[in-house]
Amino acid sequence: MVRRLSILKQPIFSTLNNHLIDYPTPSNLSYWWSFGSLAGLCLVIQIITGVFLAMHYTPHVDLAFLSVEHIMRDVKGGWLLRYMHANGASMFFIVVYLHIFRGLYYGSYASPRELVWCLGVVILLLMIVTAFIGYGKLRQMSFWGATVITSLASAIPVVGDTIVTWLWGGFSVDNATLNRFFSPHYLLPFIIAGAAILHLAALHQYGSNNPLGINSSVDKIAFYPYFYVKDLVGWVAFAIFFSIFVFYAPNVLGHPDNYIPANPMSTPAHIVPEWYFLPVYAILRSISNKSGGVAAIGLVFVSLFALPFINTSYVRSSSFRPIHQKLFWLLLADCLLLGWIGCQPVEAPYVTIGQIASVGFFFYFAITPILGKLEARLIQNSNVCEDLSPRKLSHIFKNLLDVVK
Amino acid sequence: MGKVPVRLREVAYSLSPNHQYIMRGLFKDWGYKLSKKFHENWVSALTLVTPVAGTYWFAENYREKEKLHHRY
Repeated sequence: MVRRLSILKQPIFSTLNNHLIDYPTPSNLSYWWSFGSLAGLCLVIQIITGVFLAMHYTPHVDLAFLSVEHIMRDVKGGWLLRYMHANGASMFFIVVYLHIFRGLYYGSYASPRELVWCLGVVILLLMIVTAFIGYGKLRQMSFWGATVITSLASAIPVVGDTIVTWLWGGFSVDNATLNRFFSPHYLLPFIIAGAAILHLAALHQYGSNNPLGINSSVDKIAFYPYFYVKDLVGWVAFAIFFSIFVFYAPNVLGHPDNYIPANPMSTPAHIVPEWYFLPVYAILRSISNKSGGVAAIGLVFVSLFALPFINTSYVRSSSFRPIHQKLFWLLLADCLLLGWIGCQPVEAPYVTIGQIASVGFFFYFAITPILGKLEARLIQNSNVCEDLSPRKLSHIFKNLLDVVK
Repeated sequence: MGKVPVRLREVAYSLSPNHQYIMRGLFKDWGYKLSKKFHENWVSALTLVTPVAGTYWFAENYREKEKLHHRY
C-alpha cells in the first residue's frame, strides 16, 4: 500500500499532484506524446541560456556584433551558452513541428480539444515572432532578413509604410530597431510560458488523446511514474541529439554570412531566413505580388486555426483513416519540399515547384471538410465510427457534466 | 579454543547473466516484427519519399539540361 504524504493535499501541491503526479493518462501513449514535455524543456533551456547571455550582450549597433564575439571568446562558458541558445532555437522548432505533425496524424486537434489546438497555434506564432526578433540585426543575413520581412508590413493598405517606420524606429534597420526588438525578445518567452500553461490546462480539461483516437477513460494510469520515466527517456535522447549539434556541429544549422558584420551597402546574393522559416518563406515567395504573399502567410495560420472546426471526420486517428493517412504523408512531403524551395534562388524550375507545393499545402486544408464525409461512407458500422458520432459525443458530455456537478 | 557455534547466515545464490534470459522479449521474433512494420508502412513511406525524391531529381535534371543547352 502506498502512503500518500499529506503535503500533496495542501493547496499548491495538490494542484501539482492532480496535474503532474496522479493525473490519469491513457495507458497506450507512444513516444510521439513525449514532444510536449520536450517543448517545455526547450523553452526552459532558451530562457536560462538567454538570461545569462543577456548579462553580456550589448544591444547597440556599434557593439552588438563585438559583444557576441566577446561572449564567445572571453566569457567563461560563453561559447556554450551562445551555441546552446542558437541551436536550442532550432531544437525547439524541431520538437514543436514533430508535436504538430503528431497532432495532425492522430487527430489530437479534433473535438473536444479544439482549444488545445488553437492555443498551440498561438504558441507557434509567439515562437515565430520571438525567434525572428531574436535573430539579431547586426549580422549580414540577420540584417537583410529583418529588412525584407519587416518591409512586408508595407503591404498593409493605407498605414503600411507608417507601420514599417514604427517597426524600424527610423527609415532603415538600425540601432532603434535593435533595441525595440531585443526588449520583446526577452519578454515574449515568458508570455509563451503562460500560453503553455493555458495549453496544458485546456488539455487537462478532457485529457490526452491516444494513438487509437478513441475514448480512453476505461484504461488510464497515473502520470507518475509511468510517463515521467517515458518522458525522461525522451529527454535523454533529446539531450544526446542536442549535444551533437552544440559540441560537434554548432554552425551547421546557421548561415555563414552571419559571421560578417551587417553592411547596409552590400546585399547578399540570396537572402534566406533560418531553416524553420523556410516553408512559410517559400509560400510567401510563390506569389509575385507582395500583398498576395503576405495574405498567403496569413492564410497558413488561419488554416491551422480553422482545422478543428472544418474537420468532419468521426474518426480521429489516421490509423483508421486510410485516405487521410496518405494525405498526411503527402502534406509532410509537401512541407519538406517547401522548406527546400525556400532556400533555393528565385529561378526556374524552383519557382514553379514552389507554386505547386504552396497549392498542395492549402489543398490539404481545403479537402479536410470533404474527406471526413468520404471516409465515413467507407467506414461503416465500425466501433470507432460509432464511438465518435455527434449524438454519442453530446451524450457523453452531458454525463460528464452531471458527474462534475 | 573450543568450537563456538556460529549462526549460519543464509546465502542466496543467483544465476550468472550467462545462464539466465534478460529482456528476452526485446529481440524476440525481430525478423517477423521488422517484416510486419515494413508490410504495414511501405505505402506510407513511399507516399512520403517519392514526391520529395522525384521533385529533387526533376529539378536537378532540369538544371543540368539548362546548363547543357547553354553550352556550345
